Amino acid sequence: MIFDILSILLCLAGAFFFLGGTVGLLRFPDNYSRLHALTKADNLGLGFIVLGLVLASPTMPEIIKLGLIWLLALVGSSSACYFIGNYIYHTPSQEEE
Amino acid sequence: MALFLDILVAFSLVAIAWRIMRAPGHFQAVVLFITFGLLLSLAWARLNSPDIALAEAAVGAGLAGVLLLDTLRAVAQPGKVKTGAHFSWLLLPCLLLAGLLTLSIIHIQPDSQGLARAVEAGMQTTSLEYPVTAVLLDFRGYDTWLELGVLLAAVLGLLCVRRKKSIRAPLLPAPAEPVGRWLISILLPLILLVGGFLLWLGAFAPGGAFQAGVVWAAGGVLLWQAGHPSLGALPVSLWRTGAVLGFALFWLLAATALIRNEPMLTHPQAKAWILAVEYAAALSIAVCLTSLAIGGQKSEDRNQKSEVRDQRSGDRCQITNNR
Repeated sequence: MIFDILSILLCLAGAFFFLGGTVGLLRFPDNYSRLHALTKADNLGLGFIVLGLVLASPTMPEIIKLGLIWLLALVGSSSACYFIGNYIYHTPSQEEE
Repeated sequence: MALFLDILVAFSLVAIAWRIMRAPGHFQAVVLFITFGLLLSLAWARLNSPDIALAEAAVGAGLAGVLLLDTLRAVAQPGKVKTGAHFSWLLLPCLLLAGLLTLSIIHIQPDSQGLARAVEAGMQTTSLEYPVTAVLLDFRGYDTWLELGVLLAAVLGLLCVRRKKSIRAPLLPAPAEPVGRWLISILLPLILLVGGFLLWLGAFAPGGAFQAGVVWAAGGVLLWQAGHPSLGALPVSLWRTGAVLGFALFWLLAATALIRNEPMLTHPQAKAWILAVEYAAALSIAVCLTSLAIGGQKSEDRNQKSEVRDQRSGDRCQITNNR
């Protein structure tokens, strides 16, 4: 029972971060801060949801798989962030020209 | 709740399709298309067809996205395209097609089993436990064979267009990228593992040659993108053998059946045979798709680009130094 409530609360927290990340992606003024918003949504939002699902999952293999998924998403989103940021940095933007 | 999710997926599919048509630039259209593929795979998963969902996520969203982005970079973008104006004549054919599809859906019996019963009856004659793989490799081996042929033809066509004798030349590594190398050292073992797992799983659960091949191909593309020299160091003969192996094994199967005076593509009912064909097909799919994704690049172009980039970053350094 207590685990169920905790799990729902954690998933809601994750959803909140995803919502915040999406709002940031839509509203932030420049590419770098948009990237920042996006990666926060990936890391924290997914982290909270994984934590919530871990509390709800019955078996150990499932918990390990969930953890691995989160780690992979972390690796993927941080590298993607670097690649996009690097590309923006090396491409002269239209405002500069 | 499930119905709500289904309706949400269906509506967003239509909405994204509409957005793709109205996208202001090619790049946005491609990114939206990748999103569309991911949502479509979600829809397939909701329809209880994990095989198609896997294939759609891997091919439709992943590799097709890479190919489209590469194409975009190769074709100089002529500014912003006008949308809507020159598609209006397509309206009538589209409506006609939609009407036909709706008609055919109405005519499906609600309790229709389709070919499921036929496949179930045939399952006793095959050595595979999973019906989808049995259909792909045993009952309708033809289709898979010809699909491999199409992939091979595409690679040959690429070589012809680029006027190259082998795929080796474009296999020169891209400029080295530290984060890319770090990423590949983490992802590549996982990619090999997941691909192999999918392939092994195909005998009795959703998975199989195509999914495994695409996952491996993704690994190959990543290796190349990260500037790893390993693909360029691979001997050409090995590369060629890998590309034709799946097609050749099917061909061998067909030829031996003909010699033994049996219907084409009949094979001894041993799991080893069918698994060999499947594994070879996965390898060929991986090699062909990797060649397609990275073979279209002009290696000289990339070198020039990296030089320009180096110069530019050098300029930046100078500017900061001057400041």
